[in-house]
Amino acid sequence: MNELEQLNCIMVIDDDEPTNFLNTMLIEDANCTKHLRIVESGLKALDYFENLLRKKKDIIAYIPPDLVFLDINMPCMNGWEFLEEYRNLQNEQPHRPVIIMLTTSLDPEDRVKAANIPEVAGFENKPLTSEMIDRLIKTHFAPTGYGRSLQ
Amino acid sequence: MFNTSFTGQVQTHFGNPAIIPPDLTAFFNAVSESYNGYEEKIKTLENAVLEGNKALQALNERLLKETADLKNVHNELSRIFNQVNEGFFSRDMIADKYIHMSVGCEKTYGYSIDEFYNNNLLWLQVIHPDDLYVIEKESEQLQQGVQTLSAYRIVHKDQSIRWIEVKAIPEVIGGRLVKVEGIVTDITARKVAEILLLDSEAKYRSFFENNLDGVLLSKPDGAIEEANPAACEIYRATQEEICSFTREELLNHGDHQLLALLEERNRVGKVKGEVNFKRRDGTTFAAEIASSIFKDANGKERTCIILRDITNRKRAEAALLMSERKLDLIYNTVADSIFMVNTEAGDRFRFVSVNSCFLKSTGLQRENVIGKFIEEVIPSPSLELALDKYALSIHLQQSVTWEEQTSYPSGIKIGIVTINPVLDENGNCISIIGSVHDITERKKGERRIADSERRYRAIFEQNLAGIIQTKPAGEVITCNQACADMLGFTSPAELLHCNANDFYFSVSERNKFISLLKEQKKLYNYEGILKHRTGKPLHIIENISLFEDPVTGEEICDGMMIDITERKKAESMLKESEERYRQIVETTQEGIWMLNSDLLTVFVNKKLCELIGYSAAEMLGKPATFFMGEEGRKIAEVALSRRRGGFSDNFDIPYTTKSGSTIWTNLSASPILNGEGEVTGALAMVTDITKRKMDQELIRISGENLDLTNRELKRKNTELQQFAYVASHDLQEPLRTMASFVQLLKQQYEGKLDGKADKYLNFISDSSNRMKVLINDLLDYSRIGSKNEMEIVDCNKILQVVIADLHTAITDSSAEINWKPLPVIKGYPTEIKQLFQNLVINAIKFRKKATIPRINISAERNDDRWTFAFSDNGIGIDKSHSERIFIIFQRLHTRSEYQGSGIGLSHCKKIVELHHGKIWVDSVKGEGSTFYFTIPGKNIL
Repeated sequence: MNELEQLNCIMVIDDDEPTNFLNTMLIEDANCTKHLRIVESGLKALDYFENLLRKKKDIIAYIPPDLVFLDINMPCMNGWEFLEEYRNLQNEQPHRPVIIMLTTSLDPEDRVKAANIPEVAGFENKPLTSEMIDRLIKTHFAPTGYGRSLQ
Repeated sequence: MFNTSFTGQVQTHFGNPAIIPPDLTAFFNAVSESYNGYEEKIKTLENAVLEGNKALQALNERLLKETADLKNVHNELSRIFNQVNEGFFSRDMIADKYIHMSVGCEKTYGYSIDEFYNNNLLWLQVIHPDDLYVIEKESEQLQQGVQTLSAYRIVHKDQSIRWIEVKAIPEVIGGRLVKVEGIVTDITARKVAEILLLDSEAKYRSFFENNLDGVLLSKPDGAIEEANPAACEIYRATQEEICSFTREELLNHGDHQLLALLEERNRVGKVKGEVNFKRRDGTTFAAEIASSIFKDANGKERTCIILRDITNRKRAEAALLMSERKLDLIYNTVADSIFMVNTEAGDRFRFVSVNSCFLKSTGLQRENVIGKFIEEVIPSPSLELALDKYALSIHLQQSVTWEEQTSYPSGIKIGIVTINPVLDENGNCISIIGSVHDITERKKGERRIADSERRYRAIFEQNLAGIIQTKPAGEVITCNQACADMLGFTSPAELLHCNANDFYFSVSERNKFISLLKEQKKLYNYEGILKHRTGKPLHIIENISLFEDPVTGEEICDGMMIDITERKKAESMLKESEERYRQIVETTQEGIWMLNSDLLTVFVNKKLCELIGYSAAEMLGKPATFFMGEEGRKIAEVALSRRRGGFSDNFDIPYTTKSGSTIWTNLSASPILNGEGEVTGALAMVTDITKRKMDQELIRISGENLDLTNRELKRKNTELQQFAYVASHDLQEPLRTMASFVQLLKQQYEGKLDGKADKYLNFISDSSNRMKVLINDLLDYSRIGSKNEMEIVDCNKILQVVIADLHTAITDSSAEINWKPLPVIKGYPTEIKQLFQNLVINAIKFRKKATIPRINISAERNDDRWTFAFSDNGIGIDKSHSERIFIIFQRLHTRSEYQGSGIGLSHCKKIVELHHGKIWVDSVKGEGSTFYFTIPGKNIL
């Protein structure tokens, strides 16, 4: 994937260390993003977006993600709770990432629930694969002359 | 020259002579022996004459007396007894005094009875000194119990010498003479005659010649030797002619009595009797004869016959017999009882005669009356009354009348008794004659009348109805208490001063009523309004009749009235009540349905019509089942038969309305009973419960569904539990393999591959370890409450064990644990221990850094539950997570922050719920948390 086709930033929100290790490896290997941000909890992710929006725009570490992989089952603040909080920020958010629920849950209700949340673009089961990344980018990001843009 | 009174006849007026002839045989014999020859002949003749004379005298006297009796049949009965000349006496030989002496003694002795009583020796003193030897002899005999007959002389009070004959009857008890009873007869005249006769033959001749009776001296063969002038006259022949007659020529051979008489004369020596004689001319005559055989101086037997033509006497006797019969007839046919009692010694009275009416009236037998003392015949208390009256009558010497009631065999008799004392010439009462006029029936009648009157008075006085008699003008004649009460008076007497017009509000009203009464004579159920004394109206209903007083001929209104004021009041109240009732019936929200005994509709109210959809007219006369479908009819059949049996019920029943829809109703049905308890119909209150029924149906269905869901849930729960157990168990197997091989891989190749490989192996190892924990936790979770039985659990001991188990953790963290005494409860000990352990572990685990953890444990009893509190000074929990912490595998912190699978509190929750309690947390973030859980009533001891 050349630079132009690369996404600017992918964010993975997950509390599980081995999962994060694997996902990092996979995304880096796929060479589909310039930046990768691993956030270990919903609370931290929310914190990230708040910082991104208000205070710490200029700080290089807070890059607005194009694609967010969101785990559901997390301690303290789970995926759904994060989404509720995130929605409050959204109105002020000029940048709207593609949020994909990435979960081990096989519960169809979770899928339905996800479908009813406008901010959620997709529901995928773990583990993350290179094909899944490919497909998601092709689906959600049309190739432009200046890189990928949200479809 | 002969005094005839010695014969001592006691003769009743019935013609039943009771002759007590003195036995003179001894005397005659003595006399006979003392004369010889002619003298003896004369004496015998004289005796015979004397005998005959006595008999004739007696007859004469009887005839005279009886003729007199006849004349005085009714009023002179008593005189009969005055002729008694014998004296009767009774002498107590022990006390040597008289017990009783009759008036006859007074005549004989000239001394009064009282004088005898006062002087016990008087009787001896009066005896002629020359004759005292007779008494001595007599006394000897009496002492031996021998009856005596003595004749001796006494000196009469008038100083004359009298001959008396005493017949004495001794009563000897135990060889001792105790009493002598006797009869004293004055025989002076007889004695004088005897002596005179003995004195002179001339006198005899004179007697013989001048005798009014015929005297014949004859031989025993019948040849007549002498006949006196009287005999000649009787025979109408000369003495010579008579002497030439043979016996056959003298006697009427048709008389069979003669032979019997002759036989008796030959046997006894003398005879008396009546014989028919004949004269030469052939005529016959009846004669009374006295004949005796005697021996003349030559020792030859001779006979003497004294005869008297008794033809005339016979005629008189026949007449007397007739009279007696008439008397008898009268005596025994009179409607009154007649009785006669003799007075006897000791003021006793003995019945001597009663008539047949007496016997019929009393029902007594003659033999039980005659000869009995009155105390043996008349029962008390009539006896005492009679004795009083007898005494009174005797004292007053006049008739006494009284009324008595006596119980006789024939029943209770009431009679008016009249008695008359019978007095002798000295005025002494010798007997009492009485008559009893039976008034039993009259008395009964009187009592019936009195009863009837009493009953009438009772009815009149005690009647609840007011009874009043008035004159048409208004004068009150009489009234009863009820009438007085009704009108407000205290007594009927008060009303008597009133005018009936005052009892009306207006005179015209009464006048109207009087004119109506005069027209119809009788008024029934006349309703009127009277004025009570207080002025209040008195509603009455009255039956009145108008009649004429049988005595005065005045018109009298006879009224009987009942106060119906209360009834009137009740009637108007009833009317009001009925109106109210009607309103209730018509406005009630319940349908009212009434059936008759045939179970046909007789009444429906408006509401019922609305319910069923038919008009009342359409429903009346139809059976209730007409308005039902099949289901309703089935219920109705049972219900109606129960109604007929007199039972009340409350049940639901569907009706089919006119439009065809079904409505459900609730019926409260009862039988209608009459006074006899018979079922005369049924009454039902009908409530529309269609909506309720539908709701019930819905509830029933949803209840069924709920039930189904519940069962499904239980099944699923069981399944899930099974699943969790099986899954976790089965999962362990491959996991353990995986873990084992990763372990093996790490041991053999760690550090020998590259850094990445080592990292991978660690991930695998960690994950498999974590999974092992999760599976074990899950297994534990599914096991909670599945095994143990409830036990008595002392929470203090449990806590002590927990603290001991957690010793290391507590020491390491320097935690301080304080607790107040905890209760003893009923629970699962293992689970309770896990609960306490988890809470303590949590409190230690989530402690603030650099702070000594302080844990306070307590339990408090509120109402019916224990509330336990585990409070710490740890990190606290955000309020938003207070629910989530109890969900399985939910963690608030990353594993790197705080260890654990996130199952502890879900265990706690499950354990508390197992004990039917609740668990919750109260926490301030950063300051600490308090976990509460409750153990409710049923687990409290």
